[in-house]
Amino acid sequence: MAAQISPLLDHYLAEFARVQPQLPGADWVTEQRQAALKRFVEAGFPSNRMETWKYSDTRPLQKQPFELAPESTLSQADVEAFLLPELDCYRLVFVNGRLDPALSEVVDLGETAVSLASALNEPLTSLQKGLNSTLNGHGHALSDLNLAFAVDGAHIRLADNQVLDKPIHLLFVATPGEKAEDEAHMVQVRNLIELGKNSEATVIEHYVGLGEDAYFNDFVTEIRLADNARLKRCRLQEETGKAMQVGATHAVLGRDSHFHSHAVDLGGRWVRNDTVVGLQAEGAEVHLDGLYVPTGRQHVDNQTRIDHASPHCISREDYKGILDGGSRGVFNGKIIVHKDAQKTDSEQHSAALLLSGKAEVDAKPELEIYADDVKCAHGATVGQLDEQAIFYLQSRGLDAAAARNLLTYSFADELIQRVGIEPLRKRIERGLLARLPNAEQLQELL
Amino acid sequence: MLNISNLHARVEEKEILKGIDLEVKPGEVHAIMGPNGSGKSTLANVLAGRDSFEVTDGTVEFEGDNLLDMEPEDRACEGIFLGFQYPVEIAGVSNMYLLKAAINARRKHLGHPEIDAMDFLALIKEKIQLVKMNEAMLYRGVNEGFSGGEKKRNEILQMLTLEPKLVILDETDSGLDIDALKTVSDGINALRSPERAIVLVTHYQRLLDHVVPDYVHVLAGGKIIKSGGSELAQELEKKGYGWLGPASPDSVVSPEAVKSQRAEQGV
Repeated sequence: MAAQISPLLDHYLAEFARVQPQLPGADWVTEQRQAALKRFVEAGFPSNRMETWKYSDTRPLQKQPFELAPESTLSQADVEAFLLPELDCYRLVFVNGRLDPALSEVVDLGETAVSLASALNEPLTSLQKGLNSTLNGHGHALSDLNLAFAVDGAHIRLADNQVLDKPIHLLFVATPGEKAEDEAHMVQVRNLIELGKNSEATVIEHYVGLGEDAYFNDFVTEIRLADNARLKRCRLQEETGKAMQVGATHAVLGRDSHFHSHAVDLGGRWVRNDTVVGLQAEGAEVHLDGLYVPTGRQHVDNQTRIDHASPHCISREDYKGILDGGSRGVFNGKIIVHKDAQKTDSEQHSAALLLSGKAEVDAKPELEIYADDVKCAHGATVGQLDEQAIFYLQSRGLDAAAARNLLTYSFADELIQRVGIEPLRKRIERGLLARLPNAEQLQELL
Repeated sequence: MLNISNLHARVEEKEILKGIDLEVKPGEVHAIMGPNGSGKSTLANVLAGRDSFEVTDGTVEFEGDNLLDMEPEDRACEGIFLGFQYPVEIAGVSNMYLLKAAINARRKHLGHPEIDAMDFLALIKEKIQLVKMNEAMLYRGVNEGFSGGEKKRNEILQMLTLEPKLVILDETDSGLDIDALKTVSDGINALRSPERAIVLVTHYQRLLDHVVPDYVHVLAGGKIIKSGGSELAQELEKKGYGWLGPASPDSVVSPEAVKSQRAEQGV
């Protein structure tokens, strides 16, 4: 077998052998890791001959062999800029993927949110059923790479009827640490969120980085909602300008459960997100909101898949992109209404605003409907700022640049408002305004 | 105040204004009437500086300055206000923000400090009474989800707040019910003063019952084919635009032709 594989894939086999002793997990985990690594090596990096990777060339990920980012410690001052000081919340801070208890704030949280690594080390846990159970064949090779190398992550588990009193802020910080010059690091995080019946939680996944070097952040978040559970999940991606991120979210929804996802991509050089939701039981409801704001040479690819597998489920999808410079955006929204999913109610909207003639977006709705009594609507728009609206604002005395900024802000506003958590919303708005030219005068809008 | 001479303008390859001459003095109210496609809205937009219209000939002076050289925002800051036929909706940007930004843009242009927050609030509360708008609408997105009438009231609110020197209202009366029309008219009348000039672009004579103009001009085929006092509007209402002869953008009717036509008809 070794003769047939490329040196690059060979590197990952060797890397696994090198780091395996430090990876957490009882024997059953090691078996899963080995199986995942085997699948990864057989499949290789995704190729853009594959339909779902058509617009995302993974060659930037293949330019260098990545080594697992080593343990590193950061001070409170290092992470200060990424905290949400006005938010009353629990906080788990992960440095290069590993929980840093000193930076975390988990008093009173008990067993509700723990380090996945510690949970994996238990000989027999409910995790054995849970880990990697939400992918249902819809994962890709880089999610297998993640399973093989995952060092840690958050394991959030709510008991039946448990309602979390405050949001949990999961902060993932990538740092070069004492990295040798010729090394490039990968961070491998795995999160598992399991909500019991009638439970409710809000989880903020926040991805950031330090330093100037390129790194690869590969994460998977698995979500399982029992009957009538409600999860609000916000993913805020503010990686550094050279970071590559591949993130996959897989959610399985039980009867009458409710999942609202807000995904915001501000940073990163090359970013790919897969969000896969299975509406597995009657009455489940999902809302996927997404905002991506690439500029310069950034590439952001959002792939979503919603399986309506049961009757009377609701899905709402609203993705918006604001693209400047020579950036590239991709949105692919796949919705599959299975044979028995009668009374499905599904709506999908995607919109992209091109601020520059060099920016490019590929947006595609993809509907497959096998049931006959369903309501499915979708729409995709791509355009520039409305000249009439610019003129309207100019005629009230605003200069052209201010008018353009105001309208760009307005385009994103509805999605940002829906995030709801004020300190987080303000951070997103500040992040958006920071990307617009001369937007200082808009500060008072916040 | 405003001096338009031989103004020609086109959009893409289509010539729409074919030589407009008009002088507006402080204190005057002018009504510009005409059938659809006659160039009324184009004239209003050209005066406010919309760049999708290209001025190919002629001059426009505002208080002695060449208006056509100025950016739209500078025209606004110099005191020109255009009330839009179709006001634009801007979600997420509150009416209050826009009003304040507009006032401060003009104050900055004139070298004044930004308006005091309390003074601003007092000003808005005073003006909103005049247009009979609910205060809650101030905190909604600009025109977001407003009805047609509410949008027009909002235009009048902006106009009253900005206190421009020259007001140009582009079909602000179109589509209004009688209550809204009265409110809009009251707003316009409240602004009439010896220092201020108002140009009403309208399709209907109805508005002119409430805001009686000093002059009425009929625009057809890109030219002013007839001018008169307020009685001209009533005559038009009675007889229709057809009375002035065929008036499509492609068939310009000269004043001479109109005169002879009127003679034939015994008017």
